[in-house]
Amino acid sequence: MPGIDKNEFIELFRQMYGPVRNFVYYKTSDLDLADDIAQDTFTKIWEMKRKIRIDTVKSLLYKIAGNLCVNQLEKKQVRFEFANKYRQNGSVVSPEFELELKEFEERLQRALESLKEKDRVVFLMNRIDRLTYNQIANNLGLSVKAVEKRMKNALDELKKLIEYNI
Amino acid sequence: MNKRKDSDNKKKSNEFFSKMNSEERIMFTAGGLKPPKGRPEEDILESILENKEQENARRLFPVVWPFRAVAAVFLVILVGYAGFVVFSQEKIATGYAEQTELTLPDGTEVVLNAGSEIIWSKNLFSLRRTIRLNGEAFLNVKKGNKFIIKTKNGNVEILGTKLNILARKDQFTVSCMEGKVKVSTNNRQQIITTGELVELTENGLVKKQVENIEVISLWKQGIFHFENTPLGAIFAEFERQFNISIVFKGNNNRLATVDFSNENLEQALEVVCVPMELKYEIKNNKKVIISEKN
Repeated sequence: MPGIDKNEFIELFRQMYGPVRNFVYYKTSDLDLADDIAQDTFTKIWEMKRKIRIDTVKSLLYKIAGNLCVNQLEKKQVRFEFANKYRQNGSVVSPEFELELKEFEERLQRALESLKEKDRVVFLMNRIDRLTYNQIANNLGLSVKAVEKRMKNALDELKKLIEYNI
Repeated sequence: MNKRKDSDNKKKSNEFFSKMNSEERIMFTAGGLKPPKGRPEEDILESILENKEQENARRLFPVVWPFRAVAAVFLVILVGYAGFVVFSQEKIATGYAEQTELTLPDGTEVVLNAGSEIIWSKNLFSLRRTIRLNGEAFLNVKKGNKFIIKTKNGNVEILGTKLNILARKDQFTVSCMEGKVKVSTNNRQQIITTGELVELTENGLVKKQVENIEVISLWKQGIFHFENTPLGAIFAEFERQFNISIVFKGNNNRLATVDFSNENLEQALEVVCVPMELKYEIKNNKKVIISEKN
């Protein structure tokens, strides 16, 4: 029996709004666009709540968000401004180390910008949103093998970029 | 006690990072990133739930099958007719050795250079000011809503008043004499203001500052100004202005800077040919053969 009710929708929103928004951010590095597209995606889901199956809704979310990204014709330069998860709750490391970490973080962000989009998205979904390869594969409609491949590509490329300090 | 533990911890994490290889460092550091904060999620949830609580509207008149076909036929006829009325177009074109001035329904003045045409929609023009241009035109746009000029190579959106557009084959140049103009091609856009022009080149739209921009629209007075322009383009203008055909046995890509008037063919030819070391021969007033002097 298809269809989701309001409570299920709210639960879905709480669980998935962040990851969907992040997904668009990884693709485009545009924060406003990420919020807009995530909102539009959930609006669409809510509009078709009667036809939706709860067991496939996650991959549908990513599908809709991905399509909305494609409609954004103008491609801008990718430029990330990630924050740090830990740093705000008081420093737990020495100042020198913090500086080193910060510098490494900066290099990592620049390196992420020049990755292939599909590799980057998978890599960041795994690293930041802590999704397993299985979950990523389900959400994006890929095989687990393909996810592994993209993770490996991303890591290899990042290593290259960072070691040669590009 | 606590303090000591803290500094121990610091030391530990320090060592632990320096012991990592670059792969581990990447994985570790990436895991500590998070995207910047966006709009509050609760607000977004609320606005989704509020806006979209409407139910599917029920069909007001259940329609019986045979009538659908009849209704469909009528609808097709009606739409066709409406399309004919709404989309009927007005077209003004100039031949060679001809220029024309016209005023669009909104009061915009257009001067059309030789061998050019503009097309607009009779009935829709008052709703959205859009024209299609092939060739060269000078426009003095009446203030009002957006005015859009579509050409093969890109679109021009006028935010202010006076401009000159050249849109022939692969040439596309927009010069702004007064006000502000937005020019866009497939994937780029540029905004120019008084005294600037954009030109479509191999590198996309290139913006230039021009000291004496009025010279570009001097063609309205029959004076043609070319700056570092390939000879091919200059002779093409000759053909349009004098209604002749030119056979040029030379390098079409040589650049020249000239001014000529369309009053006298021979004088105009002199102006171009003498400095460029070319010789010309006029045959029966319709055909000119130009070649390099040796």
